[in-house]
Amino acid sequence: MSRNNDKPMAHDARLVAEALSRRQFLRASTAVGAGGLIASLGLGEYAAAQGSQAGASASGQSGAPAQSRGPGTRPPPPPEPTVSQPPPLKDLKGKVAYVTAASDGIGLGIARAASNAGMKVVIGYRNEDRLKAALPLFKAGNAGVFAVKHDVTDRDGWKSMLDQVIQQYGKLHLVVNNAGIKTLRQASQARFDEWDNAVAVNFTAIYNSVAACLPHMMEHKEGGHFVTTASMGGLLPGVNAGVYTATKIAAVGIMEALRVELETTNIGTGVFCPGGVNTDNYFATGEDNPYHRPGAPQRPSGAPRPTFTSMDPLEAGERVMNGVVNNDLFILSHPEFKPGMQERYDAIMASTPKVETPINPERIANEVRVTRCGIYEREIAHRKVKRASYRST
Amino acid sequence: MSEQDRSPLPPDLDRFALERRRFLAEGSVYGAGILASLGLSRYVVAQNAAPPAGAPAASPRPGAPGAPGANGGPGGRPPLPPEPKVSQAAPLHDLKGKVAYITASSDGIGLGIARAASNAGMKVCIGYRNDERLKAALPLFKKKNAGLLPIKHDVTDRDAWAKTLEQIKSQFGKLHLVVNNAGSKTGKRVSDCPASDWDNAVAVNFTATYNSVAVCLPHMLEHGEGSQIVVTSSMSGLLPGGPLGVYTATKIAVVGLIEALRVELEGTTVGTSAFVPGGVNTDNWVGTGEENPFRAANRPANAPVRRGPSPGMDPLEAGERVMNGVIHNDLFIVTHPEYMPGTQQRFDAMLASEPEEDPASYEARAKGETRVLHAGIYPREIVHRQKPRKSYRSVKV
Repeated sequence: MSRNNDKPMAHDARLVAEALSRRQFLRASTAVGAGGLIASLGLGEYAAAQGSQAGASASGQSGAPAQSRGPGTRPPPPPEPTVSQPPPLKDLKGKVAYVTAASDGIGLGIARAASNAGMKVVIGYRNEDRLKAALPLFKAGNAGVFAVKHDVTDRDGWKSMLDQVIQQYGKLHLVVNNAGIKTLRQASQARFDEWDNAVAVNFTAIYNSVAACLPHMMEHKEGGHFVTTASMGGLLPGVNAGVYTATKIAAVGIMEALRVELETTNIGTGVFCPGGVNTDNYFATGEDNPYHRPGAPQRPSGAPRPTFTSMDPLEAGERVMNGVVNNDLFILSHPEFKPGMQERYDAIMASTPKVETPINPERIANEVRVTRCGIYEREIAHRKVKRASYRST
Repeated sequence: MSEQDRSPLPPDLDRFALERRRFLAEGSVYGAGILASLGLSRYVVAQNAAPPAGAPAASPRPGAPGAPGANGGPGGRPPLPPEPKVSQAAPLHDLKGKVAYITASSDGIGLGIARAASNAGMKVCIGYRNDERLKAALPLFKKKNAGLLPIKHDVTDRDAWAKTLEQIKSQFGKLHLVVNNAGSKTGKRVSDCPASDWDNAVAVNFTATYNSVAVCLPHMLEHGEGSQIVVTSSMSGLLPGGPLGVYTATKIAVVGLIEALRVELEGTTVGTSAFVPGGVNTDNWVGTGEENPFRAANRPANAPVRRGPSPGMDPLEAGERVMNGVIHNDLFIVTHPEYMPGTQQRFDAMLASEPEEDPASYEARAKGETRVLHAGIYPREIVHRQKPRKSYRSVKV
């Protein structure tokens, strides 16, 4: 192929879309700005309302000749947002939440907290007995509760879930990707099916939720929010079970990536990284959870009930809702992990190489858009702002 | 390859028993059932704990009946066994005569790594998919170097991984180094991405590294000579650089997988490294200073044309730095310091997100979490990094 590429090559629509997205990254935009996405959804006017750099519309630029220039001649980065994204879902009352795997455990805690905060709650479940046991835990005076049987790895299932929710409540505002599989397997030992299943549930299901629900959330314009239940294992591989660790680290990463992409829209993003939560404390009744780990030995009758010291699932849920109303990128609840996190980050920073060869200044100029990511500075500033207690939700 | 073909390691090859015992021992968060399911109940006994009541996968939960510490709460668990004092000694400190397999090494960073490995005296297996690229790459290897073996291989194909290993074994006898270099640099956003693109990126950038471990690790443990598993991630694996979320998320994921593997394999003869490069001159076609014709062919219609070399790092230098990371068994092979202040900001944001609460309010809980509050690999890596080290240039022969 000739290197003379001054003229546009033959292209199809998909290539144009790719080119636009890449060009926005390479040329026109900074590390933020989802204007192109909004435009591609036919919601360009919304981008203007957010004051973001939406760029020209897709049709306007698709036929423009490619510009030939060296990397050194890029325009300066456009202004970035000066503060972290304001919470799109500041007021929960009357809004609609969908919590996957909410018939038990942390998911049930989140669903209860959402319901107590005045939201209409859609409970994703797979096991009917668990659901039946969970439903009485919701206060009778709360707004509606609606249950949808849903396997989060099923993409068609996501679509039919959304249809059911829209039919029931009209709109969906909050998706909590809580379903997770605690595969306590080493990555170096896991069978193919174990790995694939963990990736599908802990990682790809989050993508599935965005693919299915984001267009609807953008369209109703009332503000939306995606939260994922990862784990402290997503920030620190304290557990010698790499399948879990790797997929939870992945889940944290996808939520950070989504924040970068959606920061200038009215869709918030957060990742919940809990440490120990009392999921064995069945519905916070103090009883053993009969559904936890089918086949697990039952406590012999008369044996003393074990004591639980970890966090109550309802408290975990309240902390998640607090993270939603504040639009916290990282919803952390277990400060005892902080020193361990610090060690991980210090190890990565200690891996910074000593400069042995002078760095080409052009290289640094060329990388200027990607050597920092503004969402973090803004998140640090956001965290310094006084906030309501989690109990206030 | 079917799921059932993945057999557990023979117990006598289980060199990470110590590590596993540390974590999986009775009363830990894992329960004894996992040990039993791996046929390692004897370690339960060694820990002075009762073996599980014949239960297979299902295990008593900590604090549950049958588990030590039952009735006593988490405080009743046995004390932590001793951890390694220093970071895992470099299993592949001597590269000469060893065998490397680099996926996607007919071009770009992979070619740089393959050339550096070859120059360092390794026998090099070149994973490739495009015959034309391979033909253009082969003359770049010095004639007097040890052998080369090109293998056509799609890293998402698990059967092909098994075949690849067989080919390498029949040609060179053993495999010591796997560099999971194949990557899909999709420009897609997570929020605007067809399902097929997502699935492909996850398969290539994340699961392929798991595939390599599933297929090659048993062989590496069996021959017992030091080995290493490396992945080419990206600075995006430490710091999301732009709204290319599919790339970012999968690259972050694979760094996490390597960290998890270090925890698992620290007590074995297999080292682990994540290579996280910034800008590398992959447009500089095989170091000729010409634009890469294969990239030109794939360039979207309206993307800017790059003439001649980009100012990024030369792929051969990148490769030499990877080999330097291998001989030191660095957990993170960082080559572009200009990204690290931004990376520090990411970590600071995470740390700033920890709520400030009275330690007394979670003291009892933290006691039950003792085993997962820290990962010892990190303090050890910090100490490891403070030791004097060879220049990356010393990798050249």
